[in-house]
Amino acid sequence: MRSSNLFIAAFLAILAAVMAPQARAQAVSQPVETGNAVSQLIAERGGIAPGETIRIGLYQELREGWHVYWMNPGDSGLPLEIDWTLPEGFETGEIDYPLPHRIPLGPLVNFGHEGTPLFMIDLTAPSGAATGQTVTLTADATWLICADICIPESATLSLSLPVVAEPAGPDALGAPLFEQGDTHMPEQGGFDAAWYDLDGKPVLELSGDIDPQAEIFFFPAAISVVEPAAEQKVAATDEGVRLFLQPAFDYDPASLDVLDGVVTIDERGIEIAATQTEAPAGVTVPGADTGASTDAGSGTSESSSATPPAESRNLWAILGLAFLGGIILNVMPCVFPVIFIKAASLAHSAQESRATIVRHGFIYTAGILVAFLAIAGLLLALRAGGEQIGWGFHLQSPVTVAVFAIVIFLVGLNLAGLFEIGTSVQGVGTGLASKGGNSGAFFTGLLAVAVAAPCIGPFLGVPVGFALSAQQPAFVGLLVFAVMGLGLALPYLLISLIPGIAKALPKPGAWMEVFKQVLSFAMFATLIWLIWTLTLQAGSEGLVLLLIALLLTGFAAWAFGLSQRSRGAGGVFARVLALAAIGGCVYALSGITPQLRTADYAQASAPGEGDLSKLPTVAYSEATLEELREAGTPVFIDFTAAWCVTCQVNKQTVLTRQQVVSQFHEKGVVYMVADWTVQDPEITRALEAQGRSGVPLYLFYAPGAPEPQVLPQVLSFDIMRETFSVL
Amino acid sequence: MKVLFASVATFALSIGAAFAAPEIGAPAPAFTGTTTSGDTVSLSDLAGEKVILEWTNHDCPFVKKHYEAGNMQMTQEAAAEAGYTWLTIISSAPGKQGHVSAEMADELTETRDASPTHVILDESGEIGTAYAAKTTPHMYIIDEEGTLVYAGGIDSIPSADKADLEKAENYVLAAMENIEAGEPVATPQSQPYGCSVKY
Repeated sequence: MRSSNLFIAAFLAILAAVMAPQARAQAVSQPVETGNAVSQLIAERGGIAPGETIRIGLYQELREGWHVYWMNPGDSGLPLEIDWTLPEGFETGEIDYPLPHRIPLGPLVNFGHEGTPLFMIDLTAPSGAATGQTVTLTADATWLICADICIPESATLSLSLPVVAEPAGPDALGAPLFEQGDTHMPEQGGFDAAWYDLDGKPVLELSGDIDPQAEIFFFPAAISVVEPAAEQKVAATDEGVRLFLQPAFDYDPASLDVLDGVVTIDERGIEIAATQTEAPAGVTVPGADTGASTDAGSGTSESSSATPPAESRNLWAILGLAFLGGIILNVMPCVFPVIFIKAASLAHSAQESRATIVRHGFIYTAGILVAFLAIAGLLLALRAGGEQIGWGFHLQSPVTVAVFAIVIFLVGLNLAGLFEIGTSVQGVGTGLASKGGNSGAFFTGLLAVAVAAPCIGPFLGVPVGFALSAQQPAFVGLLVFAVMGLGLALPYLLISLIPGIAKALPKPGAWMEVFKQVLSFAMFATLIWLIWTLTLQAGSEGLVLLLIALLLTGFAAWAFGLSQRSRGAGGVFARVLALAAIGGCVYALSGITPQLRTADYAQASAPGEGDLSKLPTVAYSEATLEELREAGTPVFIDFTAAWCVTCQVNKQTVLTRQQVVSQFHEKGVVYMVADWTVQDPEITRALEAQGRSGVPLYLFYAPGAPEPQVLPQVLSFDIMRETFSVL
Repeated sequence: MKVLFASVATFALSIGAAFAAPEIGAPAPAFTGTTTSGDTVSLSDLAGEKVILEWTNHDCPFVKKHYEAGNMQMTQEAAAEAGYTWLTIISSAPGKQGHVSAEMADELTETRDASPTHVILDESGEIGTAYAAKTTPHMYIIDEEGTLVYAGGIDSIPSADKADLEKAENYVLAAMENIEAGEPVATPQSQPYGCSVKY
């Protein structure tokens, strides 16, 4: 996409240049393509008269996502430099820069331009220039162009310009570009500006009709006088606004008579040259520790321009994605087990009263929210304590996985009818997740999140990464998770709120028991997955302990069921047995310890994975990746975890299939596995570098590409083919 | 539970961490870093020694200019002769340009014929933030008293063009001469130039 735009731009420019000789009046140079920019010299008029001054310019089409620099480049970067070779007597002025933008890079801020900047220069012909000739102006231009990496580029550009007796008309190609360029130039004047030193810091006073609530920022023309990345506090005054600036090392009030630069007010930009004055009495820095000061003339309102409103728009977009992603989670393989539980309770709900159905809908939602907030809150707190963990971290502990396995097993046994939960022992379906009532609805919500949500579904990669990034206050992160939870709960909430839907469900009857028994097998299937995950985490010793725990769980459930059906001493004895079995179960669980190093996962899983055994996998490490990229080898990285069902589905349905494996072989792509089944700080860091905090994540590094391509969370043959088609 | 709240509070505080430049003439910010050999180096361990800090990113064109032309190596050798401890610091975050493994950093030192005392891997950007390191290269000189006496670019001409090296004044060499002669550093601060540090 990006490069095709660049080529179109280059093509159009070349076309223009080729057509120039025929049109005769078109004063443009041959465009020069330098990798990340296409540059050409243009003139506003078709010629220049002796003694006349016209505008010429360097017009650049920058690659999307790349920027060049303003006269003051900010914390890093370099401004454009042009070395002119001109005919005798011709003179050029300084470069007039278009309005700069703030380009943040981590803690740093650059001032620069994106898109199609036009740098304008005045050209003056000598009064004695002979008319009828065509003069050639040559510019040796050098500039630094950066995305997150920087490349110095340069081009030699030549412009042929006829010398004409009378001022020439507008140039057919140049004039429209100047017209467009003028809309991006700062306005000349319009504000009275003054500055003074206040306790070693510069303060800028602007007089004029300025809305103090607008986004106001001062771009200083000189380097090293004002810190580019520092916040500029804005206070309203009677005449206009006051900007409190942070000095850079070269700031010296004794020698700085004029503070010049550009002030932007929302979309407007105005050039200013502030002269130094005496500091008026009573001015204080807003937000400073001088709250008692109420002198007239001090700031009445303040806003901070360092946090542009884009930030909050961004948050809305993130919340939207989180909500959408939450809804879609319902159809992700991760959530299937819970869908079965929910299906059992829904099938039952037709017999309930309307109020009960609605109440259960809300309680289910509450369960989801509580689980999301609890896990996210714990995660944020642990990360603040320095732990290198991410979303889904709780399933990285084999003990947690074992506990979930037991819970799922119990749900399965309950559905199968081995024991009942609730007060009514007789009757149909008083199960944990069915008529069991409020606690059942709440429990289902909890379970939905705890077992199933750790996988990152479509649309959720960005919100989860955003929510957990250290740049966000914790409450913003929790808000994102809460919205995601609402999305997850929405379908069931709707079913319970819209009366027609529940009514349309079949009437419960004897078939319900059969239906529940069928669903119990879905639970046992889920159990297989959890047992497999635990085996990868805790080895065969962990497996034996879990199987013992499951046996005891089964025994306890059976004994409990027995006690429900019998009265007297027999029932009490059965309950004691059940308790003893639970005790043994806990003891077995406590013996489970993580055993496997992450890198072994690829090998451990290989034999059972069919075609994957034919595809050699490389365990993820920063150093290996670095080496492969240095060598120009294309690399596909599969960030995965055994507990991530979406990851497993992608692996089984796409990554290990013959047509994909053969593409890996044909194109020589290295298949790198970053296995996050157990905790791994290196992989957590790699995920965070992509703004993610969970799996799956699929990255493709094309040879020589500075940044990886991020693939969707749900893969397909087409996606893989398209990704590899660049090779 | 207390621990939990404490860490949440710490978390909230750390968000507002400032990126403020250290003051020339004041004690240099303390730091502890891990070298490519896995050892830790603290500024406090180097008390009484003159120290030069060099921020680098081997893929940055400005760094390449100074290494490919031998300018950085020449400065390192001059510093070694004058008894300086030279710490090359890499603050690129994982996945960003210039981030390297310890092995790769050592290999770069060898292939470029460089002679830093240590290369410090600062992928968290902690040391870079303490010094407000903005560009690669960005140079700092700390005297025997632990005072920061120079911060800025390696020389006076901001460009990625090797041809400019001859015309440029090497501020680090100049500052070392001033220190040797017992004079105050004539140019104690300059605008650093280069690629942004890839935090």
